[in-house]
Amino acid sequence: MKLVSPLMKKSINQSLLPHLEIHLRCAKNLPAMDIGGKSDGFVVFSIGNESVKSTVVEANLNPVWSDRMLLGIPNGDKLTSFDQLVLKVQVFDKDLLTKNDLISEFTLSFKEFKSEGLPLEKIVSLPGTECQKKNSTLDFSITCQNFNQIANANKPIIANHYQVIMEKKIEAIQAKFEDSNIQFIGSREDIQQRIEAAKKEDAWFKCGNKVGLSPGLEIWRIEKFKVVPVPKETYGQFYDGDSYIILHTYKKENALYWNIHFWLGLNTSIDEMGVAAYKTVELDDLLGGSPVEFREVQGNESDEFLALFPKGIRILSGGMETGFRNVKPEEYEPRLLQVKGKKNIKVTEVPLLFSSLNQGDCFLLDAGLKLLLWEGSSCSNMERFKVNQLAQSIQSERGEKPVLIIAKDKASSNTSELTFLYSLLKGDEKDIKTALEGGNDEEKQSAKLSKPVVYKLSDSSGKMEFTKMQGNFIFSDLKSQDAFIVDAGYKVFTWIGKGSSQNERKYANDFAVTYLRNNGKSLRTQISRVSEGNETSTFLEVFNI
Amino acid sequence: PSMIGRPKNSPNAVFQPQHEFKCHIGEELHQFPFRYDEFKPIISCGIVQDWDEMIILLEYCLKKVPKFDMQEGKYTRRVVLNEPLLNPIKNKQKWFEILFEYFEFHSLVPQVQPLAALYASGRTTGLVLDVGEDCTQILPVYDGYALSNVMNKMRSWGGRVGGGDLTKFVANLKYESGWEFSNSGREISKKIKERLAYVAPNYWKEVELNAESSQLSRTFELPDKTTITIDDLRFKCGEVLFRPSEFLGVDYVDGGIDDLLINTLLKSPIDCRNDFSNNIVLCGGTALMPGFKERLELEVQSRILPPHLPTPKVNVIQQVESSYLSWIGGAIIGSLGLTTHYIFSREGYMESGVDINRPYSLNLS
Repeated sequence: MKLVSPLMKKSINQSLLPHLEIHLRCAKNLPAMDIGGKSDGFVVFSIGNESVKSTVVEANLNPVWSDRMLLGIPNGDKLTSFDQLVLKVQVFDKDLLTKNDLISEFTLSFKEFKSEGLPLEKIVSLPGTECQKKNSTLDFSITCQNFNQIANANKPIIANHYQVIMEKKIEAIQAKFEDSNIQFIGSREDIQQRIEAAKKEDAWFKCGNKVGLSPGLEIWRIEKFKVVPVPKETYGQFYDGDSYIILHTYKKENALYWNIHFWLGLNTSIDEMGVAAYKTVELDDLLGGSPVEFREVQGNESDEFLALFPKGIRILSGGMETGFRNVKPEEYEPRLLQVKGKKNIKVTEVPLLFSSLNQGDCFLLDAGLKLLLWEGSSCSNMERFKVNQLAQSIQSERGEKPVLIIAKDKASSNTSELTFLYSLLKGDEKDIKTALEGGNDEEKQSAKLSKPVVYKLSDSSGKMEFTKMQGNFIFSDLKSQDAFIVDAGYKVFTWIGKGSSQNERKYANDFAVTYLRNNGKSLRTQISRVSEGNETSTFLEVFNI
Repeated sequence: PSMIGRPKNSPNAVFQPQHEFKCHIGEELHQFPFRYDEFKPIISCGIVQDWDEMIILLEYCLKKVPKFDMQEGKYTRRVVLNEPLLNPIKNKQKWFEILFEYFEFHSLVPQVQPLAALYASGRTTGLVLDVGEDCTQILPVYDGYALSNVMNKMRSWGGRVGGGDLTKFVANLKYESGWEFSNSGREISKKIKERLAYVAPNYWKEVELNAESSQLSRTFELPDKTTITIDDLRFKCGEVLFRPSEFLGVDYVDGGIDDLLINTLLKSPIDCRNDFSNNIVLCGGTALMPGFKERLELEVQSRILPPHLPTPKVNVIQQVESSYLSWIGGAIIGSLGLTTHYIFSREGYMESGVDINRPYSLNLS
């Protein structure tokens, strides 16, 4: 068994440290120490504090070991000579309950180990009256390793090529605390500076007065790097996608005390978190550094925080967008829109297949930051006009302007961007249908989809009712006291009337999703919210206005 | 990487001063099969060594910024200077000189890296451990204040071991076992490190396990399609962080990252210790190494016991964003508008020179 002394255990490069390698073989005629006339023998080798212990051979007066022990030399790499060192050998009897009995003890001087690498075989007759009576002996061998290290102690153990780099590093690191960039942190000037900076934040002032001058609660929300006060009515209500700062001022013995909590929703973005933390410190500075700061994470709020809202806190899903620009074109689901018709031109979403294309209509392939406008060879002028309009409205909708590529036919499709867009379509290019196969423009117009499908959402009867509107539905049929869901084929709108109830406003989006699901439409279809009087142009186009 | 290489046999080397050679920067170094002069580190321990090269590097970086027009942008843009801990004042002044006089930026916000990282993790109290490319820094922060007196007490404010040293360790060990990687060697070693290295919870158990079976060994494919087997290197590489003097040589006297962390904790005021051990924020790419977080928790838990810490509750925070946490922090602080403390304006600098401890931010409207 291999046994290692603590010093050796610590070291990684065992083979490089100066140490002794000890092979313990056997002992003979040990005196009996236990009641049964036997001994449980083991041997300890030590140099100074460093020691290594052999295994215990139970109930045997002639124990045999097969231990290989490595004994490190304390401060071995710094020693210049090893003459002072002494190896101590102790033979013990292991006792379970009482202290181990010492059978015998002797020392070896290092003068005996002269040649490195060669084992020094030893059979020692053990000193002590008991042992001498029985003529007991101990048989072991010792090999010195790496003692030449001691001779050349001034040289480093590992000749390394890090040395050059290290020298540079040490130079660089020798900056003193006194003339570095952090010496002034926490100084009076620094604090004064922080207070001045905090005074420049408008949110910390209400009608010209500093906040926190009277007992009570004040809440702010982080909106795109800005701190915005939350209206009093919604105190206790938090969005899980946002971060908030809550200032609690209270009076105790005619003095004001403050607690500042910053609450982080589970889905809050990293910039909101950062700003909340930063601004909390700023508010702390403004109030003279005496407030206590608390970090609250949704679900793990502190008791102090929960006590501020006796009615309990309400957590809503959603929240502000992140302040960081957030474009992920890779994650955008591409879609293919067909533009067809003569008078009433309809835009419908069609499957991403080459076979969806035909030469008689116009198509728009929307891949997030790239738009491919595909015009069939025999499309009508109205369709061409309409598809351009559509492309422009999509372009203006997105924050990052998408690149518009126009492909008249496949002959001009040799650029790399085009091939990328083409790769989104499945099937073969040969699948593109002719104008005839694509169907007559007039026919399409008379089809059901030419009119928008409109559902009414109303709770005027006391129950939420979702009904399909029959007949020719025109724009003026949208009534102010209700909400409507308008399916334009490629997009679904929720139209919210001015006089609609709170529940209608709230659930309009949910009903739109249910509508999509029940009618087998893609759940990724865009749902836009339009309110009465603020209709967007795309919405008005659905009703041909 | 912040490195600049110049081809060795440049035809007009004789006629041109050195800095006008065609040079390759960063990732480009691995794309062009030139023979380069020795790479000189531009930044060592976060402190700039060669300012001429730094300017070349900055210009190159600014060209890569999307939608940034050098001519227009420099007068209107604000720059956040994310500086390392204990950046000498002289060095900081040089930064001001370059950013205001050479690049002519509008204003400048200096910020200490670990503090920025702490804000980005949504905290105001915590112990930030930033394991960088060539150094490690640690900063205790309480309620937004860096405890600089703790730093003053420390013998060393950070370790000298960083991710770059691990790469060199891998390269060195592979070199000794007969794999000589040439120009792209650094890159290969880096890839080995990033893909295969981990930190073992118990080093000696791992050594035994490796000796007994080959379940730890993985193969790695070199660019020429030959594969090499990596076994003990995987956990030795991670162990370098914890015992640098034994792996890298006696010059690394500071001790491992765990020693640094525990030392700082014990030097901190006793009433802050619990908050600190609960909020140890990791930062830097090397901190994302698998097992690093667990090992740190284990070390702190087993080595800090009462009375130093009444109930050792250790929580190390490792985020996906860890590798660029201080950058995010800088970005947040830069976007805050005029309310950040310490804004230096170019006008103020041009009028009255630089006095780093008395900023002109108040003159800024």
